[in-house]
Amino acid sequence: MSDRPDVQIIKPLNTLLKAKTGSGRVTPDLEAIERAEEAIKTIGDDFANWAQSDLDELDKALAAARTNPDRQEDYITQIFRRAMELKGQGGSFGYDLISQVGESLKISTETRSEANPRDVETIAAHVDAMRVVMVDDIKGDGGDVGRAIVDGLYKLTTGS
Amino acid sequence: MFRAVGSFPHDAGARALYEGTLGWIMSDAQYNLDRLNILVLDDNRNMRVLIKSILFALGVRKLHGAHDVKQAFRDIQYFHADIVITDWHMEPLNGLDFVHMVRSDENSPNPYVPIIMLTGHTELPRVCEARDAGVNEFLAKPISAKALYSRLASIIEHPRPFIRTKTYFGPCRRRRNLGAPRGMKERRADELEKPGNKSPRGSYA
Repeated sequence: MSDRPDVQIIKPLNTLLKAKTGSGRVTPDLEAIERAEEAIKTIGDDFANWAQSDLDELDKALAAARTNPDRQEDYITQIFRRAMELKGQGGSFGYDLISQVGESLKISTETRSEANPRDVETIAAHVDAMRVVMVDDIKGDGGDVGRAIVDGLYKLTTGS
Repeated sequence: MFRAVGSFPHDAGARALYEGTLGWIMSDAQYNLDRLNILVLDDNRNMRVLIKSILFALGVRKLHGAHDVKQAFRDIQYFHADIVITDWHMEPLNGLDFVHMVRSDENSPNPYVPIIMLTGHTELPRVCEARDAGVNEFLAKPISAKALYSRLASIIEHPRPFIRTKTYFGPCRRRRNLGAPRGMKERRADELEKPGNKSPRGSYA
């Protein structure tokens, strides 16, 4: 029988202290954060191309899901993964609406292994909505247009 | 006039100077993130670019990117990561698999390395799943510079002890010290109340 206790508490050496100079409380480095925000803006110029590529892949997966019902699960998985990527990236670059629509698409496809024609059209509506956001370069929550898009997709996904 | 060491200046001017100097000393701490090695694991090239750019702007210079779990586990054998930032959704192995490998594989070079899990899943069961795998911090996508900075600061400032049980190995999962359960007496109270048994605190609990 092992002598090891049921619960061991281990305090590893804090090697990260090498990243700290001086003592006491660290005030947030606002200049560094500002520089990082600027860096995000610079990369953000590429986001339109990234999103375009993801939307093209979504269109392909959607077309395949329509024409190959036997392999729908694979295509829905592909759509789910693209939705996760768009959701994860949009908001970082100021396209909050892309993240919102991406989240809605993620929820619509997460636990689904097959899609009936109505489900396929719901997915298509999400893809179209994201295309509109990118073509019209709608940043933030999109105001009234954004609300209309989100409400419309909500009604489609919940069937209400 | 010289004061004895440890005495406190009583006149207002001297006190202000004392407190001002103390405040200056206490707020002089800074981060030099260029002293850290950070590994970024994400199968999406665009996300890797985004995360690495944020880290670089924050001052991190020793960055290593990996696009899958096997590569990352191979790379940490020679890239001695001080912090790992990993995505969750990857194939064929995912971010949770990587956390398990780092924490428990016999070939892991540093089972204690702090890990930040990035994910688009923000539902509570998912957060708990990541926590129970041994993740230090959780960062929801879409990420921001401020959010990433705050996770790094949290890891540096508040290192958590590691816990090993039969079913878990990883950082302590208690985030707050809540004290004893409200309204309940100390579990040892019955034992302590026996005559002759004294609480180590000097009073009966």
